[in-house]
Formats: sequence, C-alpha cells, structure tokens
Amino acid sequence: MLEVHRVDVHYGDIQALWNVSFRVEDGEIVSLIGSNGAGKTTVLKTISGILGLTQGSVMIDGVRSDTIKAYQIVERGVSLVPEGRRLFRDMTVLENLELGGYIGKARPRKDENLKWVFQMFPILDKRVHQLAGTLSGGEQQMLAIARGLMSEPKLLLVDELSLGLAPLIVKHIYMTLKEINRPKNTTILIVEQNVRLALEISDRGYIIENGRITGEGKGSELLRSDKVKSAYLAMG
Amino acid sequence: MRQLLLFLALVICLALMPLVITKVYVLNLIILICLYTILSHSWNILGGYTGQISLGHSTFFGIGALIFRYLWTLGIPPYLALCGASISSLLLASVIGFPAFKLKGHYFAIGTLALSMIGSITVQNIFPGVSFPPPQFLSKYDLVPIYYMALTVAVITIGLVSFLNRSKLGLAFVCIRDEEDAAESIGINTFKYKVISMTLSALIAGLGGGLFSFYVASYYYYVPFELGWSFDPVLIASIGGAGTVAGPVLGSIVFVILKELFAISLGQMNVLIFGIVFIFTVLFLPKGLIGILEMIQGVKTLRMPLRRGHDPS
Amino acid sequence: MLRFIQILSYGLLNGALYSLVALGLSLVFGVMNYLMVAHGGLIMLAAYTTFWAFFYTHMDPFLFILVVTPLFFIIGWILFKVLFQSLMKFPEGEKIKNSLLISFGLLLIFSNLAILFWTADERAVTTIYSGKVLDVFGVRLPYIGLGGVAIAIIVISALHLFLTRTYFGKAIRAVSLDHEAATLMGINVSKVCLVAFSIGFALAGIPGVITSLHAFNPAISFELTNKALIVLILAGVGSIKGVLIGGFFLGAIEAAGVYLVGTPYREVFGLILFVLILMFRPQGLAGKRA
Repeated sequence: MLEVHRVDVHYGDIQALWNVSFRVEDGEIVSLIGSNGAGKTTVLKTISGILGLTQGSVMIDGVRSDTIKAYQIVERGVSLVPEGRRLFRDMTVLENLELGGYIGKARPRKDENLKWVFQMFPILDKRVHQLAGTLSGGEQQMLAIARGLMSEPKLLLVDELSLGLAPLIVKHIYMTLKEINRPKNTTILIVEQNVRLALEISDRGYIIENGRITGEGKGSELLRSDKVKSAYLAMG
Repeated sequence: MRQLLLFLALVICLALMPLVITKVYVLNLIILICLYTILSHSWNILGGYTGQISLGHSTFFGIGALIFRYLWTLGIPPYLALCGASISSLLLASVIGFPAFKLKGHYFAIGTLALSMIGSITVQNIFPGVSFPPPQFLSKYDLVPIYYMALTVAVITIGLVSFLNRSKLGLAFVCIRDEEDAAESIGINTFKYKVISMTLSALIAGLGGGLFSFYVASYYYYVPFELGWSFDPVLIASIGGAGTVAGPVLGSIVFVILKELFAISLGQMNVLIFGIVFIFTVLFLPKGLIGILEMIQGVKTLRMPLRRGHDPS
Repeated sequence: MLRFIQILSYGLLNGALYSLVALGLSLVFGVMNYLMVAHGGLIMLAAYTTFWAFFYTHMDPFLFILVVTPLFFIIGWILFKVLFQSLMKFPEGEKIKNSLLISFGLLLIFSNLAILFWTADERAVTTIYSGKVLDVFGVRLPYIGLGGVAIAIIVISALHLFLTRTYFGKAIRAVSLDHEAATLMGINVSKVCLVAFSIGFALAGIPGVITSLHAFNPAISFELTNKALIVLILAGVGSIKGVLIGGFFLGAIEAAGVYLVGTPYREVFGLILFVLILMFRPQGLAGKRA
C-alpha cells in the first residue's frame, strides 16, 4: 500500500536521501533499520509530507502523496508517531488523544477509539486527565502511539520508539504493536536503531546506510544475516 | 576606489556650499539630512548589521542632547561638548547592554521599547520645562557652524560604518545577524559583540543628539526623548537598505524631502507614506532602495552580502 | 485607608480593561510567534469606529461590540491574507523579525491615518451612564468600569470555553505548542493561524469599544500597545488565565504607583516592573515557557 520510488531528499543544498525505493504491502509490519544519521527519520518525514522530496515519488494505495500537504496525508490514512514523541506537553492525556482523532472521519468514533487505546494501554486511562508532560518516558511513548492511532490510520509510521526507554518497556510496546497490526490490519512501518526488537516482530525489513537502501529481506533472515549481525547487533 | 573619490568630491562640494549658497532653507535641509543619516546609521549598526531590532534609540539620542546642552551651557566649546554627549550615551549603552542582551528577538525589541518609554516619561516629569541654549547664542544664532558640525559628524558616521563594513568586527556582527547559533559555535562571543554593537550604535546616536541640541535652539526637554526618534531611524534605514553604508543616507534624503513636501500641507504624512513603503519593503524589497539601485546598475555597492533564505526543513 | 481602597479599585477596574487589551495580542503571539505591536493601533481604530457609529446612529457602545467584533474579524482575515501570508515563504527567524517590522509599520500607519482623518483632538463617547458611579461603602465605582469588568469576564470565559471544549479551539492550542506535531494530527496549521489572527483582531475591537467611553486620541495606540506588551510578559505566553491575572496585577501595580508616588509616574511603575520581569522571569507570572 505504500510505494516509495527513487526518492531524493535535500536539506537545502545537502542531499540526505539517494534514490530510495521500497514498498510496504497491506497489513505488513516492515522495519527500516540503520544507524544514527542514516536517513531513517528523513524517510518517514518525507512519507508523512513534512519534508518535500526533490526527485521520485511516494504513493499510498496507488495515489501519489508527495504532491499534497502534510495534513491532507493524515486524511489519506497515514499517521506518524514522530521521533521524540512530540506530545502536546501542556495538554492532558485526553486532549492529546482527542487531537489525535482530529480529522473529520475519525471524530464520530472518538469514544470507541478511546476505549480501544485504553484497552491496549490501560495506564493511559489511569492518567487520563494528567498533563502529558508529567508522564514517564514509557507512558509518553504509549501516549504518542495511542494518539497516532486515534486517526484510524491504514499506515502507522513509528520513528525510533525505543529512544531513551528501558528495555522492558520497549519490549512491551513492541508486543502491543503486534496487537495493533493483527485485528485491524494496520500496516506498520517502523524505523529503529534497536534492530533486534524491530526485526523480531517484522515481516520484512530494509537496511538504510548513508541515505541509501543497502539491503532488504524477511525479518527473520535479516536477524540472522552476517551483515546485520556485525553492523548492528555487535556480534561476530 | 571610484566610490571613495565620488564621496570625497561630494563632501567637498557640500563643505563649500555655505560660501556659495546663502539660502538658509537649503542649508537647513542638508543639516536635517545629516541628522537623520547619523541617527539611522546608529540604528543600522545594531539593527541592520547585527540584526538586533532596537526600538529604544530615542533614549541614547535624548541623553546625547541632554548632556550636550548641559555641557554647552557650562561654557564648554561645542565639539568638546559633543564628545561628552556621545561618551555619556556610550556609558549608558554599556550599562544597559548587559541586561538587555539577555533578551532575544522580540523580547529585545519590546525591552528597548520599554526603555524608551521609561526615558520619555521620566524626563517629562523631571524636566518639564524648556531647554534654552547659552544666552549669547540665542541672540546671534548662526546656521553655518551648525552646518559644518552636521557635515563633520555625518562624514565621521559614514566613515565609521564603511570601515565596519569591511572589517572583521563588521563580519562578526553580520554572522550574529544571520545565524546566531552558528556564530556562537564557531567561537564568536555573541554577547560581547552585541554589547560592542550597541555601544557603537549609542555613541553615534549620542552624537546625533548633541547635534540636535546644537541645531534646535530651544525645545522642551522631553522632545529628543520622544518615541518618533526611535521609530524614524528604523523606517529610514530599512527602506534605504539596512546593513549597507549608502542605504540610510538615501533613506534620509527621501525622508527629509517627503517631510518638507508635506510639512506645508499635512503634517505627519511622511511617516504615513514611509510606513506603507516600509511594509512594502519588508515584504518585497528586503534590500531596500539600495537593492533596487543595484538591480538597475548590476553594481555591488558598499555592502556586506545579505543572507540568502536557507530553510532546512 | 479609604483613599487607598479607592485608588486600588480604580486600578482593578483598569486591570480588567488591560486584560482585554492583551488578549488578542497574547493569542496571536502564542499561536504563531507574531508580535502584533500594532494591536494598540487596532484598539484605537475600534474606539474611533465606535465613536463615529455613536455619533451618527446613537448606538450604545456596549451593544456596538456585537458589530465591531465580526467587523474586525473580517478585517483581520483580509490583512492576514494580504500582508502576513506572504511571510510564510521566509525561514523562521526572518519570518518572526519581519512580522514584527510589518506590525510596527502598521502601528505607525494606523496612528497617522487617525491623525490625518480625525485630528489629534481628544474624543469620548458620552452616554447617559458616563460619569455615573456605584457607591459601595464610600468607594466610588464607575459604571463604565464595572461594565468593562463584566465584559472582560464574559469574553475571557467564552474564549476559555472555546479553547478547551471545541475541536478547533484545541487545535489552536496544539498549534501554539508545536506546529509540526499539530500538522501530524491532520490540522491545517495555515488555516489555524489565519483564524487565530482574525480572532486576535476581533479581540481588539472589544477593548476599543470600552476605550471609546473614556477620553482618547490617536496617541493611545502606543500606550495601549505598551499595556498589552506588559500584560503579555506578566502573563507568560500561552496562558489565558495568565492574561486575566496579569491585567489585574498591572492595574494593581499602577494603583500602588499612584498611591505612593503620584499620578505622573503611574506608567513608569508598570514599565519598570515590565523590564524587571523581562529580565528575570521571562516566562511570566503564570506561564510555563520563556
């Protein structure tokens, strides 16, 4: 449902992505892995429309999305959970979630969707009227993901969710991502430095280095591959 | 080089003018143009080159006028009094600079605005009366020495700014204007340079204030502290071309001429027109009138390159 | 003692007006970092509009609020599209600087236009209730001042409800916190800025009407902008509650100034407080961000 085709992205005069192409099919969980500065966040920002591309195209369900504004891409069913979460810290958990469901088509089902995310992340229900900025790191990440789900996306983009979080919490969140994927068939594209956890739940993965795609394969294959092992898993 | 010669030729012509033209009206105009050039260049140093939008220059201008008047009535010769005036502005600026530059951007602008309002109201209350020049001058008011002082100070100002334009100091200022964080990270002590910029700026404004006091025989003490003296230089320098040497001069000429044209009919119309042109300039002509001239002639005048828009997001 | 309470009461009544004056400025600054220094000029224009409306139609100013508010909303909409939207193409630092300069230019234009059309003479709308006071245990409370307090409470409550109970209001708050995150929610940030700006203009209309009931002239553009800026800083950015507190606080401080030093220095007290807060607690009394 997502096709990124020969995309170049520049920051001013500096090129960040070179000829990036990959695809994500309906209902898949795909990981984009790479080290710091490889261009992963740039890819997600381009898909979500925050960044413009200088060459190539992005297609969602066969329709080009790089020509429309970022807020319209949300209406097309793409939701980005950004790096660093970018919660509205001075607003409550509930308000953050309500804003997540801002787009017209999600509003009628606000209450159902709230119930669903509270089911997945019960702690958010407990803290529903607390200011988002007062939550712990793990809770904030959960809120960020829950907020991203409130727009009923077909494609969920998750950027570096493990940053700054304790391993157990990260594992828990990844398990929850699997639950999001299955029942509603939400396609998920994950960007991660923490390669193992991401690949463990992924159907497929791509490797990105220095702004270029340098490898792809099934999740389990990549986990076992020597290249990934030595570069990212610090083994061998 | 050619520009320098042209400039010198112009200065000599102007210097010789009083010998040829006796029409007081013309001399008055030139004095005014010099006055506004000085004041707008003083803003230009801080605002145009260093990028700190100050709305408080009336305070430095006013202090200059105040101290000049005071020293002059004590019997001190005008040019010395002028030095005294500018030094006092300089001192004020170095004191204010320290707390002032804790503020960035908007906050600096409104902080300086508050400063000029405090100055204005305080002077209105402490010195409510009229300021008179030393008695002997009142009777034999002669425009010529005023004219020469105006010319001298204007030339000094222009000289200072063109020196700045080519110097490392000026380069530091422009770096701070264009990309303050980057400047800081390559080792420029932005705080120090901002204070230097403000001090230089105030020095010139103080000279302007002193000139004002020498020129205008009697005025209410609060007049040089009025907010107009804060606002006019911003308009003039921006329209003429902020961050250039010739910009404020050009702007001042246009400003004074417009002021004369309308003084007869409509009072403050020149500010109104300038306000409109100003907005137009901000939106479409960031380089001001100088920019237009450059485009026509394809010539780079005495300026530092203004930043190109560069947005990494 | 009575004199102190009297002065304080006047101060607090003024404070309500100051809150209203700062409201529009605070909203616009919070949402898009545009410091609309022309706000005082807008209020002045609203005062003149009210004056001339009263002159020709004898419509009561408080009623006229219902006319001025949508009128200024529309003017704000147009002005934003014509002037400020073209700023979007500039990078952030330039955009903010230029918005300040444009607003500054507008302030000068507004006040000089007013002088041109209506001269610098003082005007005031005089109604049957002008000058009438409510006497409470010897303390005189002008009806106009009380009306101002009532309006302030109504408007601020309405604004608060709008910002906390409606989707668009929450969108406005989201945009003022984080433009990019707001976009990711599907919020059209440009549209929000446009509407917020227009609301800011509309919010200038209301204090303008009340101002018309006191003596005013074009020069109040600067005084009112000044008050608005002081309250903005006192309140901290992004806090409606702060604006209310800040307004009353400024009124109280000025009252203290009058009581201690006398009327001529009333403004200076507020200004010095302003500069001090700017330097030592820029996030204001109630705000959370610098």
